Amino acid sequence: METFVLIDPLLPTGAFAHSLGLEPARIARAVGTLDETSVEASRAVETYARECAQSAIDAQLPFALAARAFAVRANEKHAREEDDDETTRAWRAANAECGALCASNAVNRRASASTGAALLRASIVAFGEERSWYLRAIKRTLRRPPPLGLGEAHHACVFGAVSAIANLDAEACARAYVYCIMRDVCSAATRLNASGPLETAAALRRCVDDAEAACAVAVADFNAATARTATSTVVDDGCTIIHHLRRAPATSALIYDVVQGAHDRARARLFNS
Amino acid sequence: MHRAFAGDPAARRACAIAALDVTRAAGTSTVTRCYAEYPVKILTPKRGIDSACDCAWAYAVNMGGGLVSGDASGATIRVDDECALAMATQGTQKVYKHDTRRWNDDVKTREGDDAWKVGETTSALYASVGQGGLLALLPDPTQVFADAVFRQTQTIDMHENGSCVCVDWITAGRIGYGNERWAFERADVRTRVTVNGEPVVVEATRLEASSRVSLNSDVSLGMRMGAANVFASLIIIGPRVRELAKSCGDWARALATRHMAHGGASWVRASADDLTQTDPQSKLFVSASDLPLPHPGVVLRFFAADTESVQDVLRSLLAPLASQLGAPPYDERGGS
Repeated sequence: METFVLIDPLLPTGAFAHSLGLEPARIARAVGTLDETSVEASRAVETYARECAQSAIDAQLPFALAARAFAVRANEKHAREEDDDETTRAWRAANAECGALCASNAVNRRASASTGAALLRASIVAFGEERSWYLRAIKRTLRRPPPLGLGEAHHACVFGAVSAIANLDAEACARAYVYCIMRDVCSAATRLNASGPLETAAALRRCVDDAEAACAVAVADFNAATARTATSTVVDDGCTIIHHLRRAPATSALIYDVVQGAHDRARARLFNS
Repeated sequence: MHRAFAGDPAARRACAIAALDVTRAAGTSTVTRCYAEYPVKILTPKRGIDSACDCAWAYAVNMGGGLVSGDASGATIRVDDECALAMATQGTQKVYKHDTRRWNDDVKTREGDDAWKVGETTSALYASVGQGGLLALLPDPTQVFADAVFRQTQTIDMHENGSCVCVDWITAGRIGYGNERWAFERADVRTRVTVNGEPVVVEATRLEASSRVSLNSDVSLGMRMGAANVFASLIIIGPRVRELAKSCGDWARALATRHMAHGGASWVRASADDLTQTDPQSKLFVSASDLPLPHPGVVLRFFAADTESVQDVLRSLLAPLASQLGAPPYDERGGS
């Protein structure tokens, strides 16, 4: 049931302050029209949720899976938080790559950093002192001066670390992450009156089937690209994963990503991103 | 260079095909090394460039007229301290279809992560920029034709006082040839800018046909792209282009404000047939993102219905660079 704790809106991560680009897309009329019917509206929201979730699978999910892998390795080594060991360093490198990928969309970067910090804070309290030692080690690195200090912990990397602490395997981590993306888009759609609550719930359910399959493919690709060999060390594994993070993550919802970058130019808005 | 493309042997092979060094000779930025293997050729013209400007120009030319299935192309560039280089192209980079008949046997016999990547057309560029240096990458757009499988990766490794202006754009393909729009199999385009080895901005896009398992598998890529035919990004970072970054960011934010006030992206959902290449109302949407401190810079991202709109915008935005480069970018006189 710890999976439910992770995806429950009760966990205060501030996710519902973000529309994941749906609001700017509607303001710019890239999604929805003024004279649309309710059926067309729910279909437009579903299309957007699918694009957004697939782009998250392509761009952000590899970072979540990598962060989860680093946390699992840290547990295997029984590392203690006093050690600035290779696994924490690798998490920082992954987080830096994630931040660089978000840098071309300042709105998304801001959202990722704020929800990441909130998830980190909430998870440390929710999972307790003993189990959250890895998260507390990450949090301490945020306060250090550069180049060790980060300032920003991005949501995908924090989510992966938390999923390891909640004992989620890679497939469950991927499904939980993508479900949260689709949930947040659909929730924003309802509050924006872009689609009615019942139609939105139906749209979310329709997305879930394809999301399961897409997550399975993404996890298989990640595992194949970062497979450990019998002789590889922890450092080799970390390098392999970082190399994969430099080659693979990429956004696939170009139009919505560009429009989201203009969210701050809207005259009025409900959401932070 | 080895660290930049570590774990990516295809990119390392591709960027070794050509090499260009710009160092100080006789007090000016001079091309002191210029190496290229077929199909790449590098031209270093001086006509049309203001000789009083301390900047070298180079054009990367593809002798075959484009990249075919399995081709590897690229370059390794070094811009030394206090030097400047403008790198342009002679025309659009065309990427032709992926020939599965040629590569099927390799796909069956090879195992592991790279099996599905055998035969993909690769373009890779590694550039290093020294202290006070300036690199301007000003290519023509990449046209990825139907059934192509293409991967482009660029890494610009800068000194903390280095500067770069990097344009990267991709078009829908041969729009005038039976309306062949976004008909390629896969296009993976990536630009990574690092400062002292630390990643600052990664502009990465992957567009795939609907054949693969995804949440969008019921919709073709052409339908998803709507009426957009061009995507472009403009990365401006570094102390030598601080004013340019501010002016470009201000322009983009002003245009985005107007578009957000008037539904300026509604045209993208129109049918592509409703927006012809000769449509007098050019459609373009832009957003700008300032780079996180302490790096002074901005990233502009565009999508538009036609290439000419984007070229006009780039010509206008980058005109102030003429004082540093010796010729205005994307201008007939000397630019791309």
